[in-house]
Amino acid sequence: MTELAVAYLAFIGLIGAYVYRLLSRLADVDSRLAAAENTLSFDENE
Amino acid sequence: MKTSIDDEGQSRRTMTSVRATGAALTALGLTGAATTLLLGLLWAPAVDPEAWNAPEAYRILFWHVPFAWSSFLAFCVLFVGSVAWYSRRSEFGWRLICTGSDLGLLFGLGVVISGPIWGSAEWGVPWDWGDLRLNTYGLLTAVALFLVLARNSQPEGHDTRDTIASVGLFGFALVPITALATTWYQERHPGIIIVESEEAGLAPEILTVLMLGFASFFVLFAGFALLSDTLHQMESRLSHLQRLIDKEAVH
Repeated sequence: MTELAVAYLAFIGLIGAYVYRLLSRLADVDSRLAAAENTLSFDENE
Repeated sequence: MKTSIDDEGQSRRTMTSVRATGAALTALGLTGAATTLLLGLLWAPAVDPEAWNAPEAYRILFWHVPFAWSSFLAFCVLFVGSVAWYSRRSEFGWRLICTGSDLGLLFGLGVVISGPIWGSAEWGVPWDWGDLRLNTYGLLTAVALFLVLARNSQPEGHDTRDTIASVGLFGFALVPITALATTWYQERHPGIIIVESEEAGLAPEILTVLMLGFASFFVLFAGFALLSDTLHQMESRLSHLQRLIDKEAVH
């Protein structure tokens, strides 16, 4: 049973860390992209 | 400039839609994987204690085997990306390389961590340096690790991409060797249990849970691949827009 617990904790930890990192990076790049687009459209309007 | 920004707005809407599909597939895949785990722990029967040294530890395989198959899929994506990059210098090919190496590392690490845990219980040793499959698979995961580290540490450019794509092609060559190693040269790692189920004596419930695991991890893989591709596409667009802003600031 110990082996099962350790193995599945490792699996879940890996998947959890990957999902967390992926979603954090998506949110971060999304906000930076929106800021860059706003800057460009602001320049265009000027 | 206006047309270019409009095109980019259209492209962004497409990315948003792909991202939503990726998120939905990821949620579905995670639900399936969790169901596989619960069924594997609670519903699948115990195996014959006479035939297995660690009859309870076999339940590790309900995620270990789909992880391994998903990693092979990731290396196929890496291979297609490497070929696309070499043949056409395709940006899509490069994004496939990024996605394939990320997912190859994720699923490869899962296999390399869980395999020795099961091996310790079943064989009494975590690793066998004489077993072809274990060692080629370990090398395959090391290739994925190298690719991810190289992408994050080397300066962006065609030279770096060429090097990474060539290592990706080499990595893919290990996939058929690893996949067929138990048929060609079996030392310790078990054979193909799905195909040889009669000989392996697996109960139908165990096969059902394994098949659910394969389907769930396939969906999860597709979700991860779509989200990862969207991320790399967004990063590429961000770099492009930042260059435009820099250019406007200069003029």
